[in-house]
Amino acid sequence: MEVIFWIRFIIGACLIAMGLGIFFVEIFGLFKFKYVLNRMHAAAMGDTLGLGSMILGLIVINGVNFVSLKLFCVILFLWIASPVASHLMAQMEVETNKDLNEYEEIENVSVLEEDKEGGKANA
Amino acid sequence: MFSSIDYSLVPGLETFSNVFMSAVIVIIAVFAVLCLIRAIVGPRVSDRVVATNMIGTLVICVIAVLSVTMESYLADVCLVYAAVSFLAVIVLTKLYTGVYRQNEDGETDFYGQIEIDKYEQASIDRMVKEADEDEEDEDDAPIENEFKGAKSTR
Repeated sequence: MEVIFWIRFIIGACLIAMGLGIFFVEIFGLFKFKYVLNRMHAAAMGDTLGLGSMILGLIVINGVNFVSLKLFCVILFLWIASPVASHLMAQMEVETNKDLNEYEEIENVSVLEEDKEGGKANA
Repeated sequence: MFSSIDYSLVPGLETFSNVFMSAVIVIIAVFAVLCLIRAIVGPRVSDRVVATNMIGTLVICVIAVLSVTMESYLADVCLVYAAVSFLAVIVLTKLYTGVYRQNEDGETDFYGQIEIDKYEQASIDRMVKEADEDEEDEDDAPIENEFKGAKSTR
């Protein structure tokens, strides 16, 4: 019985360590990238996978009871709410930045236009 | 098998668990301080909102760890904090977008804030003054022309 407790604790600790690693990657990306819309990729990762794996580890350690159910509700709520928050932040950035084209350059625009014209000609 | 761990049966696990959970909380606190640095430095307002949202997520993690290790009622606090943090992000984004739309005519700098330095303010004052004078001239001009026209017809 004691061995089962140890195994459960080690599995949970591995999941929590994985969550911490994902949080570290998130913050590394927050300082690595140059622009908000790029940073948002890193920031959205921690909200879903980082917190998800971390609370899953806590549930494994805690066992099946009401606290685990509430923690699972936290995961469920954040998986619904976090994409909405990310969408709102990206919408705010796009609406309030007048110089957005400086960061959103598309390379080889001429190739794309040629493709479009070719498609029209074929049609 | 799936019930909560009885630490009286495994005394070695209790100390290990305490050390591990304390280390997790300290590491998350360091991450939160780094997020706070990004929230202070971050050049645009969106940067600050992203960093604030991330601090909220880290705090939810800390409360979840505490709810497992210390008191069970902290799980409710965790749930409510998640809702309030989400609400804060919605309010911040909507408020800032609304304020920006109100001031859309004004010039904004890179940070999204409205800036008018003293030279621009002087030129704006001059333009306003000239516009007032023009309006006065326009008011006066047709009356004089009418008099002139009247004189020429005589």
